[in-house]
Amino acid sequence: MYPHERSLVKRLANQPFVLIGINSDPKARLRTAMKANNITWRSFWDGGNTSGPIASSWGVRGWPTIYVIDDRGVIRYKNVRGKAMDSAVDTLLATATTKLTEDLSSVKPEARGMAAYYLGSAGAKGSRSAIANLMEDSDPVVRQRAATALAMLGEKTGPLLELLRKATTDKNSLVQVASLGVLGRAGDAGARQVVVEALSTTDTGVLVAAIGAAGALKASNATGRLKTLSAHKETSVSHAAITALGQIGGKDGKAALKELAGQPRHPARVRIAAALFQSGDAASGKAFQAFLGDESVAVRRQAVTALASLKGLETKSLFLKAIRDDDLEVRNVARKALQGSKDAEVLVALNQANARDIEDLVPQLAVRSTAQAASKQLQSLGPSAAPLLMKHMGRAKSLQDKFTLARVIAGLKSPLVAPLAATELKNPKLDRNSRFAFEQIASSAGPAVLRVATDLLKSEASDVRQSGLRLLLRHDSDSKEAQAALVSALKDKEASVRVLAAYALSQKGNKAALPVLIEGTKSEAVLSKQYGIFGLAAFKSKAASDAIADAVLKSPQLGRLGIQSLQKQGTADAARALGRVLREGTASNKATAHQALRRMKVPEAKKVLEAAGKSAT
Amino acid sequence: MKAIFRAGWSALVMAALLLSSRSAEAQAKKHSPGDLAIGKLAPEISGVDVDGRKFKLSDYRGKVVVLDFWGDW
Repeated sequence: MYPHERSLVKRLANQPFVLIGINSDPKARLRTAMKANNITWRSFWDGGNTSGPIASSWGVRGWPTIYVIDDRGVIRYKNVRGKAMDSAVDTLLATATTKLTEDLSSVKPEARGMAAYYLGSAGAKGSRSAIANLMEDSDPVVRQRAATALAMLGEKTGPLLELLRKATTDKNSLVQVASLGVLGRAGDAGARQVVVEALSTTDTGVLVAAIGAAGALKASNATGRLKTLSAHKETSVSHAAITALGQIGGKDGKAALKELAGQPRHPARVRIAAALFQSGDAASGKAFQAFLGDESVAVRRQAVTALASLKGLETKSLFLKAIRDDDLEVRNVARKALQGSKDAEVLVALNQANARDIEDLVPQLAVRSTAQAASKQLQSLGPSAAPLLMKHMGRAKSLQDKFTLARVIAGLKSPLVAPLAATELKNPKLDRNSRFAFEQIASSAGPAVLRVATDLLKSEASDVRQSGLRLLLRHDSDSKEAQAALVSALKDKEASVRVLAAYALSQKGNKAALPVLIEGTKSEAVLSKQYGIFGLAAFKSKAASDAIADAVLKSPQLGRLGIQSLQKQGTADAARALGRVLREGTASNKATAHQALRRMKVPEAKKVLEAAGKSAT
Repeated sequence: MKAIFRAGWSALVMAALLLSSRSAEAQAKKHSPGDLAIGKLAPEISGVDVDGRKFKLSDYRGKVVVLDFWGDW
């Protein structure tokens, strides 16, 4: 399979073609497979098992399953392999490009525009000159799409740029906006003159695009005009002009900004300081010190947001100030900017800020009206908050509080938490609630769960061994190691551990579990009985059906569970076992069994019902 | 009292164990076979790759796509 796909992808590298996988392996196995087989194409990761959301919604039952989809997104072939796949793709490619190239000269403007757009997004370089011709099209939407397409083709050749420069004076403003944007992104220094000319337009949209291009191209000849525009009545224009002056920098840009900064109550003073800072004016850092100390929360928020948008500047000391702010939003922006730093001073500040926010937010988790927002905000603290949250979880009293915190911690995906949770789980005296919460956290550790689980299985305490099994049960891996660990736990000296292992194995279809599950249904412990019945539901054998019926008759409170399990088995044996419940069970279990039999498709179910009907009359 | 707690606890454990598989099923809205027939617009897929980066099937509109449901087994 892989060699054929590899050669297909390689052969069509410059064509509008892509191979996309939908993979059903656990992440670790997917990574290994990609490396080992030199898989260069991208795959959706479908949850780590064959019942993932994508495969289920597409009703996929066999692997591999292939769909070939044309350039418009229409399904055209299914399950073609080898040479058939090659020719299917080739046919579609030929039709696609031919059809689209024809459409470039269609009488319908919509078709011309979309053809240009599709060819551009497909990277069809051969169509470049045909698309370029559309820059002269009579329809403005077509010209606009052609400009976008040319930008997507990413060619920075002279003739193309010449066309785009010309398009900046197009009579349609959307075309002007598109071409100015493209020229700015292309870094076309030769376009500075046309960009400056565009700055004299009265159309606000075009003006903002031209200002953006002037900034991106560092058009120093635009400084004078930009200074005027910084006083424009439209804030979108004046703000863009200030930012552009900062990008252009230089003597003139800085001088213009400094003059603006001389007005202490300027409504855009934060933006002006940011632009000055960006232009390389170190002294404007002081202005930020002041803004970050401003009594207005709005100014402080603006200041920290502006700081976060600056690139390649020394902003550490300013963010260290912001992360101590009284406002959570200010702290959050600063936290995000500082996250990932290894600087000791930053780490201390981050921890302090986390401690403060956790103190504030954790109590809010227990209040229904604030719980959701608090959980979201805790999540936004990032991985560095995990160890502190774990301490809070240990102290939390109610089961619900512990679980809520466990969910938050597991969601942080911090590499720090799994080892901490593993250590906690090893403690045999850990109370049940905490144990379950820590299991939830340990489960978020990805492939490392396997190692943690096998380690726990070595413990002397059966509670700890059960933790190990529950981790394996939740883990999506079918690895040999996991299976072997479960099989050897079938011989555990503690019955509860044996039954749990058997249940886990039953979910992977391993028949070695069968006798232990039957043993479980005969146990005195409710939980073992439940696991036994649940596990047996996965097997279609007479012994399994009989054991479930025995358990239901002995413990009528488990009736519903047992009867549903028998219905799930769906066999003739299961139907006869339900017949026993019908004859010997409690009244309510009789009624449930009756319903189950009526829903079963196996012919034996009908017979059982008929026999029961006769004996009743 | 203790017995009540135990029963409550076991129900909770069960619920949590079953939850993982159920929630996955609930997420997946099944397309009808008719929606997946030749000639039909392929339903949108949006998800993440192995590195957790989001992407969508429709990102590749304009290209011919081979969609390969695969696994390394």
